[in-house]
Amino acid sequence: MRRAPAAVWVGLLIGWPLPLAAQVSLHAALGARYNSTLVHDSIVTPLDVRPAIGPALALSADLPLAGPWQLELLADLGTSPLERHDADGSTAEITRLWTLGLAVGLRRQLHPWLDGRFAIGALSYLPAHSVGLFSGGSGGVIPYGSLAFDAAPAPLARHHVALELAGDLHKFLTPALRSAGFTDARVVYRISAGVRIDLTGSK
Amino acid sequence: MKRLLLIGTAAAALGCFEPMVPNHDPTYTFADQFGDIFHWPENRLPVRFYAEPRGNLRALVTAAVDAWQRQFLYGEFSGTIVNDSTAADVIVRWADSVPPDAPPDNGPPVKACGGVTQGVLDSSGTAFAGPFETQIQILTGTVFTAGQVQACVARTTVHEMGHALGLLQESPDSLRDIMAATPKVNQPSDGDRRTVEALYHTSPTLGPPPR
Repeated sequence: MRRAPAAVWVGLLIGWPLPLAAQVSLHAALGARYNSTLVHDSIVTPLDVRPAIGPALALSADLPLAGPWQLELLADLGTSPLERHDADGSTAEITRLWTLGLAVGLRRQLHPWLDGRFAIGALSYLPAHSVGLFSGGSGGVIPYGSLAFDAAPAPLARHHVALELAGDLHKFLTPALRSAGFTDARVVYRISAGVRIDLTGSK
Repeated sequence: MKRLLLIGTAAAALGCFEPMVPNHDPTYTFADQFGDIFHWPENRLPVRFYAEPRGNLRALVTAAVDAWQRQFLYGEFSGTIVNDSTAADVIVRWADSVPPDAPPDNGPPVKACGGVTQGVLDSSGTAFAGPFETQIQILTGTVFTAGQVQACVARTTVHEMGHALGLLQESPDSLRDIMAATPKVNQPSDGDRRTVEALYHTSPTLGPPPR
């Protein structure tokens, strides 16, 4: 028995007609992600808290729209140790941190070898332990916006692979930080670089 | 392309906003009367607490360690309960009798109990020689209800664990701070939090006991 392609299953699951489902392309992106500082504080001496560079995995489904645009549905998972950086240069791990983002965006071709995409969605911090700044919860679901560029020079495009540079932006404040006297959320950006693979082989 | 770059530029501009840092100044001194400072170093975390199995002491110590752990935002302190007193950094015992189990009284606090925490320095005078020893004592001079005694031992255990963390002196704020000589509150206050935070970001002059 032949197995149905993944795009058909996606189409069935979300109730689209098969001709449209057949046009859905599925992608996976794997890269390394840098996170900017989540908290800057000063207790006797200044300190910063930020996640270390860690792996990030994104799965996306692209659906054709009118003109050059494609609708993109995106799920993004990242993990890394959350670290405190003290003024003396020492570093201490607070806990392991996971982030899960779900977003919807628009993608289009900018050059024959370059795609661009922007998306908005919801992001959640999932600490391994409810300690420290996460002792009162993670602050719930946070809106975020992201931007990505995928470059696929001919040798890579032949293998349905592109190089991806992505960045996103959100605000960060937890209930424990609020209790400690922080009144404003901090704007946090994340930048990831990696590869994006077309799982359906459509491009 | 231009539109995407514009979005990126606007996002970068947003990232320049720097939130205000809250006040973390300590509200009372954490050094001892000789000016010595102690806190558990990073490489000794989690600090191991042993509570003797009589009565509800283990639950009281667990709650007290949790209460202090919650004061730290950035992982400066963590504690764990151990079953073996020979593998503990802090040993907590009843001084003599065990109070009857009862729901803690929520009325005005009364001094129905006391506590003491001791750490002995080694011959060099620069490090502790062995584990901290804490005793919780039930006062017998006046008759208190079981609930009043339970409320007292709960807040006294939090107070004594504060000493075990390195808050070596009492707070002068007798109304608000758990580290007041006779605590009247059940949990560390904002002043306690700021003081213990500052302690754990100050270089100690005394080392921990050997393991």
